[in-house]
This record gives sequence, structure tokens and C-alpha cells, in this order.
Amino acid sequence: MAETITHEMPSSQRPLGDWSQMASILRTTSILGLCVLALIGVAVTVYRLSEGLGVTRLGSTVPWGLWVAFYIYFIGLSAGSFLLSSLVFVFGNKDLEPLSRLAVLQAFVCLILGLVFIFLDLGHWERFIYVIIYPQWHSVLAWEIWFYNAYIVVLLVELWMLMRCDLSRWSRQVAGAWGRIYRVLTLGFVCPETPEIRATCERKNLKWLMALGIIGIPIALGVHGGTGAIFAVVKSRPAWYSPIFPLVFIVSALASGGGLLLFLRVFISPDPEKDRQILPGVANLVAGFLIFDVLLLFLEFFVGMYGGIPDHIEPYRLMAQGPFAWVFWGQQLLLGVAIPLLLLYARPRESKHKIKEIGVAGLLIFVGIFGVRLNIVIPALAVPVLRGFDTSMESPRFNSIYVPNWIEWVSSLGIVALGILVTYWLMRRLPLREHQERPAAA
Amino acid sequence: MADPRELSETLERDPTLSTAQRRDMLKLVGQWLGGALVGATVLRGGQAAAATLSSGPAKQTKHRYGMVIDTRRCVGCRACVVACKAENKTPPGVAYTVVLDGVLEPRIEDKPLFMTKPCFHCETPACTVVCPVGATFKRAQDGIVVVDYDRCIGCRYCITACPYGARYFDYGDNYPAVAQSTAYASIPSPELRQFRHRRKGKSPIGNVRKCTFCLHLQDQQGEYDQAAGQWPACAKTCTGHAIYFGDFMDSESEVARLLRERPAIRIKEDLGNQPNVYYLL
Repeated sequence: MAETITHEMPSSQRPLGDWSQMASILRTTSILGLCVLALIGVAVTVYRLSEGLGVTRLGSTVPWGLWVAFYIYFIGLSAGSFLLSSLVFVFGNKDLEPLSRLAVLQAFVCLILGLVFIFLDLGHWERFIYVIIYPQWHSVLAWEIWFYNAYIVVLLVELWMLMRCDLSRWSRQVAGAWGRIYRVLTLGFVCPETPEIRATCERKNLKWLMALGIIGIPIALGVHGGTGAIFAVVKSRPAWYSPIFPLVFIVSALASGGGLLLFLRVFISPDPEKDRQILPGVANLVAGFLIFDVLLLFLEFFVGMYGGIPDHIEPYRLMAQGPFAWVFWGQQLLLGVAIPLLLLYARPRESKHKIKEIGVAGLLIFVGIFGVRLNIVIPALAVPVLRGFDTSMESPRFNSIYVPNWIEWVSSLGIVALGILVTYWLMRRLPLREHQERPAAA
Repeated sequence: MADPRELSETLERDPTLSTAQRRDMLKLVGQWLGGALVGATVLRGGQAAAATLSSGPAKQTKHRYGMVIDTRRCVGCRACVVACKAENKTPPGVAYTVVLDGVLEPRIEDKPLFMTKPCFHCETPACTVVCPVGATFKRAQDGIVVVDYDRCIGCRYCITACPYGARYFDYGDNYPAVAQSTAYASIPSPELRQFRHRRKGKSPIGNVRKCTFCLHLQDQQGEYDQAAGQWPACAKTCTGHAIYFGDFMDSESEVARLLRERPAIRIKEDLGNQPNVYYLL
């Protein structure tokens, strides 16, 4: 039982978990690494924005690539973790409450990252505001813009509702600039000091969160199901043109969002005592979504291959036998499904490593789902709509084989690194964990 | 086409009831989503876009321009591709018409079967409905599908939606003559009668581009004149006279006559796009 005792140390003494000196060194190096990556990435992104899309390997046969894959990936991570948070606010699952702030924060950051990626993908990014001023209501993409807008509002209000009591307390406890910032962030809200009034206040808070959650569920479904519909309505691409597609997006969103939540909870913001009680349940839920996602994938393949329509089976053939079959078999199925399921279930029950294994499984699941996203976007486009179209002109822009170049990769990784750094900083500075210790006065 | 009033006019003209119903439903959902305030914005935006690219005030459908392409006369010389490039001054990677030889199966032990493939200017285009900003639309007066380069944000959704590969993204690549700023580079493209010079970061670079049936060669009334050479460049140049261009609404036109006299096919007819380009086998 010696291990259990170490776990019971107050969380304030180990801001990033019960790791020792090693963890601190690891943390510093990874933050430095992320800073370097973010700097290079931002420089490359600025270069791309000034030079135009010509610096990418995209063409007219495969007009969408890595950035669109990242876009739907992050929108999915966002919607997935938001839907999981609604288990607490709407369905009253008190056990999962400790995860709720992290889930909403993750939903917000991932949404912003997704939108940054689609912004980066625009040929005329300086006109991005046109999607708001000139909406064309037959376009699913135009509907999505408004789903995203509504979703941002719901997420911001929800985050504020979750933090306002702590913010109010911190604004009184912290001196100097940060105290003032906390005061501004309370927007005038004062958390009552007396326990009775405070209980009423908290009840009211819960009601608000429930209302927001109820509004938020259809919006989140619209955000990612609708992102799936962007692809599902395209009749020129048989592999996309399927009513199952929006559902695939929602289910894989729940799996990847849950995976990221598990990983963050176990390795970045742990609370071992609570984790031991709640995480196995969440892991079961996520594994369920993952298995359901594989079932949907199987159905897509089964129906497509059985029909045998050449334009329909060609993208599947590319996925499973093409030059990037390793993404399908290796990343998507082995790394993203088989190994996480083995980690979660192929072990003696009540093993002491359970929590760490859950965290690793979460990591593998959300890394694996990125393979799913790549395989959604690219193979369907890599099959030309008319046979021979890709070789009809001597131009790399007609090529049906698309491999992202270093500019696309470095800018993507830099943006993700920047997202991680900002999130990390927010988590240290704002009350984004339950009963978090206030940071020392700056 | 983004103007809701114009759309409802289009609906009444729509030949297939099922399509009209689908669009009515889409429109309903759209209105429900948008609300009155945003609706007003669409109205204004739509009018602006239509004003930029329509020729003259007339909005009634006067023409239904299209092509009939006789594959038995096509030798696959690709003169149409070159003529189009010379006329519209398209950059590398953008070719408003291409010649394909793998789509239509030749008869057994027959010679290879080529087809030149411009934009089909479909009656119910799949590309225009997906545009989030209404930058691409089918012109009411003559059915030509155009892109408003000043509105297009370059999201490339329409490229993925076109079942015929008729849309190309301008990545800003240049042929040596333009890259080295020779005299050729100083001549603007007459496309859409906008006479744009090719400059880095300026439209149409960063936009989606497509065949316009050389509408810059129309006169003020929107008519072409074959005898005067005011005729789509590919049809004008075709060495085997395989490309017939004309107005399907004029029953005396060469294209209308060909459709009456010879069996013609349209590519991927099952998708319901109703292309305005027919092939004779």
C-alpha cells in the first residue's frame, strides 16, 4: 500500500502529477521543444500566407490535403470532448465532474485550432470574413460557419460559468496585475462568502450549465455531424456520398475527444485518487465509441465493395493497398484500435498500472483517429472523377498522388505546438482544474 | 444566383420536379438557419455578384449555350487545349478543356476514342450549390457557370463537388514567358471581359477557375457570331470540326439539329446534373 500513500499527497505540492525530478526536466525540455517548433511553424505559416497556396503540393485533382485533415480532426476532438462534458452537465453524471472543466477547455482550444487550419487552407485568406457577410444558404459549409459561431459562444459562456467562482475568489486573494485581470474576467460577478448563499449560487450555476449543455448538444452534433455532411453531400465522390458519413464523424469525434481527455487527465493534470474511480468508466465509454467507429468503417467497406462500382471501390482499394496503406493498417487500425483495446482489456483486472495504461490508450486512440481523418480526405480525391484526368496535362497540379511537403507539415506542427503552449499557460493561470491552487502573485 | 428571388425563378423553370422539391427544402432550411437579418445580407450580396458578371440588365433566360462534340471527328490533337490556353491565358495547372481517352470505351477493336472535355455548364450544377459565399453561379441569361473572382475565397469545395473535373485552382504558377516578364506577360487575359493582369496574390491567383464558353466574345446582346470569329476558342480551332457550339434554345441551331438527328450521350447522366455538353459516338 506504500504507493497509495504517495498518491494521497495534496495536489498543490505536485502541480503536474506525482512525478519526480525527472518529470520536471522532461517538462522543461518539452516546453522548450514546443517553443522552438511553434516559432519555426509560425514563420513557415507567415511565409505560406504571403506566398499563396502555390507553396503546397496541392493541385486540382487533390485540392484538399493535410490542412483539411487537421481541420476536421480538431473539430472532431472539440465536439467529442464537449459531448463528453455534457454527460456531467446535462445527464447529471457526478462521477465525471472532475473532468468537466478540462473537457470544455479542450473543446474550446481544439475548435480554435480547427478554424486556424481551415483559415490557412483558403486561397484568399484575407477574404475569410466573406463567409459571414455573404452566406450562400445552399452550402453546407455556410451552415457550418454559423454552427461554429454558435458553438464558440456556448463554449465561452460555459467556461466562464465554470470558472467564475474561483475567479472571484482569486481576484480577492491575488495582488497586482493578475488580481486585476481576474477581476476583469469575473465580469462583475462576486462569489458569495457565506456557505448557505454559496450553495444557492452553486445550484444556480449548475442550472445554467445544464441549460447551456442542452443548447450545446445539438450545436456540437451540428458542428461535427455537419462537418461530415460537408463531405457527405458531395455526390461526385462515391466514397463520401453516404448518409453514414455524418454519423462516422460524430462517433470518431467521441472516440478521439475521449482519448485526448484521458491522455491529458492521466499525464498532464492528474488526480490519482479520483482518477482511479472515474477513468476506467470513461475508458470503457471511449472504447465503446472506438468499436462502434470500426463497425461503421466495416459497413462502409462492405457495402462499397459488394456494390463493386469502380469509382466507389477505388478509394477503398487505395486506402487498403495503395502507397499509404500503412496509414490505414498501421496508424488507423493497429495503433489506433488494436493496441489501445489490448492495453485496456488484455490485462489482469485491478492491475496497478491501470491508470497509466488508460492514458497511453487514450494517446494512441487520438493519434490513430488522425489516420482516419487523412483517409477521409485524401483517397476519395486521389481517384480522378474521370479516368485519365490526372494524366491529361503535364503538370504536377494534375497529379493524383498527393504527399504533403515540408511546408505543410512544419506549419501544421507549429500551429499544434502553439496551441499546446497556450493551453498549458491558460491551465496554469486560470482556474481550469477543480479546486486548483491559485498561482503565486506575479 | 445567390439572390433568393432569382433562385425561386429558377425553381419554376426547373425541368425535374424532384430536383425542384429538393431545392425548396434546402431553401427552407437555409431560411430557417439564416433568419431575416442575414437574409437581407444575402440579397444585397447576391445582387452585387450578379451585377459584376452578368452582361446587361436582361435576366430572362435568352439562351442555353452548349456543345455537341462528335468523337468520331476528334483525332486527339489537343489543338483545343492550346487554343483555350492562348485565348484565356491560363497558367500551368489550369486548362479549361482537356482531352481524355479513357472515359468513353471505343467499340471493340476500334481506334482509340478521344473526348475533349470543357466545363459542361450543367442545368443543375453540383458546384454552385456548395459555394459558401455565392461566388460561383449559373448566369440566368445564358446558363453559363461563372466564378466571381472578387468574391471567391479559394476554399476549393466546388472542385471536389464537380463530377466532371471542370474546375481548377490557380496556385500562382507561371509559364516562363510570364515568370520572366516578357512582352507576353503584359497582355491581360480577356476572360470575363475583366482584363486582369497576372500579379502575385491578386485574383484570379488563389481562386478557382473554369471554362466560361469564352463569354468575353459575346456582343452586348449576349450573342456569339461564328462568321466573325466571335466563337469559343476550342470550337473555332478544332482541326477536325468535332466541336459544335451553339444555343439549345434555338431549334434551328447546328447543335439542336445534331441532337435531333444523331444519338448523343451525356457523361454520368445518372447524377442528374444534366450537362449541356453532349457527345456523339
